[in-house]
Amino acid sequence: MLINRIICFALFLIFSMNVSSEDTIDKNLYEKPYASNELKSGQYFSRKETRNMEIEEFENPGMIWVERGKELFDIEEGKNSNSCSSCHKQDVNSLLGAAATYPKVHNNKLINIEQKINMCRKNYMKVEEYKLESVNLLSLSSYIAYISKGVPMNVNVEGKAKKYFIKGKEMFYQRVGQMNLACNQCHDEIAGSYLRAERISQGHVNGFPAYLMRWESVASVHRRFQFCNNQARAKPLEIGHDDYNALQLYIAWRGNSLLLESPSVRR
Amino acid sequence: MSLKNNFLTRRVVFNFISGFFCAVSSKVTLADQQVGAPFRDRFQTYRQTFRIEPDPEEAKRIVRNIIKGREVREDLIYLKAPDIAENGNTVPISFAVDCSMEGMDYPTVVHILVLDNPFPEIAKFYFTPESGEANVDIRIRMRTSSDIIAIAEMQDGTVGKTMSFVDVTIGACS
Amino acid sequence: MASETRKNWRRRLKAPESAVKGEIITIKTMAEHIMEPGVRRDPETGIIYPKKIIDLVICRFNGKQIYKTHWFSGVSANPFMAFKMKAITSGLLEVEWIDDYGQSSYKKAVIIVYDENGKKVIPMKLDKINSVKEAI
Repeated sequence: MLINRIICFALFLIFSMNVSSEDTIDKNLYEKPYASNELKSGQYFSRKETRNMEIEEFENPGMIWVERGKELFDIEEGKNSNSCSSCHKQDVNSLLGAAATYPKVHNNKLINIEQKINMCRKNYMKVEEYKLESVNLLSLSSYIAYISKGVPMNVNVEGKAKKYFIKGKEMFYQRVGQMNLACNQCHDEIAGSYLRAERISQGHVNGFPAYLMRWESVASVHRRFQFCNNQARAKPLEIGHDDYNALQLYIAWRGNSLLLESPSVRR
Repeated sequence: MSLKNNFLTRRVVFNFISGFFCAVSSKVTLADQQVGAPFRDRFQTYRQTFRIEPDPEEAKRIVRNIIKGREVREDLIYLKAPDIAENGNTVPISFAVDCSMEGMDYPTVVHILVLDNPFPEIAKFYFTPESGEANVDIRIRMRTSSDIIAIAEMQDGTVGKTMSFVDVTIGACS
Repeated sequence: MASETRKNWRRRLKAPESAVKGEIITIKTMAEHIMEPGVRRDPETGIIYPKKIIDLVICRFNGKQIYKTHWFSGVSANPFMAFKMKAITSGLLEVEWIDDYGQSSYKKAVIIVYDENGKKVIPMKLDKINSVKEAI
């Protein structure tokens, strides 16, 4: 009886060690569904007229938000009469390349650009935060993304961001909603084929904040995630939720080395 | 005066007022079935799931009223529209009128209509000889797959018309 | 939505800075406007958003109207329009967008026209504008 127990315990140890060894998780964790030369941004999958609308800078409706963001960048507010440009000048603290590294970890919390703008406003400029998904905040964030246009995406998933990366990857492969759909089923496996009359893209976020034609305004990534969840008849989370930030981190890492295209024109 | 001789009893007054309200409400509900009532005045109940239905007869009537029985030249105006529109909210189209823009040979009005929209008229363009070319790009809204009609009325009285079919589709999960 | 009270609705205008006489130039315009058609309903309360569209777009060159457009509710939101103009004299180009509530906004641009020798063509006085056609 005792020897049986010892054998069972030993077998249990052996099997559990195999299952929870660090190498196997690490090997699968950083596996990318697309090699670097297979990465295609959403522009490749849209029709010719939409692509023309996006490429011509004057004809792009998203540039209206960028111009407004440029003006907002210089407006001085608050007791100390600070504006964004008091600190972020061309050669000191320049914001070139900043948008390509978000979502990032600040003070042990993962945040994206919109939340970082609010943080700067509250802590450094000492003024009121913008409401999430308001016109002013979207204008500023699309201006900041426009400054880094053409810079390859470069999010960091090591160190403190690792646990958010794992959570984001879980969410990507998790089936949700009444339709029981996971993101990878369409965007990893059958990208390029048609779903009714729309061509499925690879699902990258290098073009966000993007002008979406269905809402006729610039939208952030989280609002687009909410729409995806609604379409699968799942309950959407609120804008600025931590899980959406983690998912955005994973999707941004998945599309690392794609050039930033904001503001893009999408359906 | 005693109450018996006065015909204005409470019963009479109440009947009169309720009859008045009945008459007023029936007049209002009958209004949307009147023949010839324009689209924009149709009565809509507050919480009704309502859509203005496009009327193909109305669109054809508008086209007939613009042309007014004149002879239609086929090669006068060219319309460039996508085959399949990515989204019905923004369909980029462009037209060009084939004329010299001098003397009497320029278009006074160009109409753009979409047949299956609830309000078929989209835009009207007025040109002058200083315009150089009658060549315009614009972005329109389309409710469903339908024809786009461009009608050009020239200063000398001739009319040109062209049509192009655009598919507006529904996509992905919705 | 349609009841946003903002004052900085944007208008954009792009016209070439210089042109050769007789050349046909492209002028591009874009307006930021919601172009509410008056039939959409709020999903929670059921109230119809009121109709608010840009009605009339007028283009004037040196004060004289050369191009006019009537828009209805079928034009898309944030409407873009590109049209052509013949470059005859230098001058001030002005595009005006008029709302159906009567509010108007405009954008101006200066175009300088050179003739074949490279000299600037200066506009003639306004009372001679009727004789422009004979001069050309």
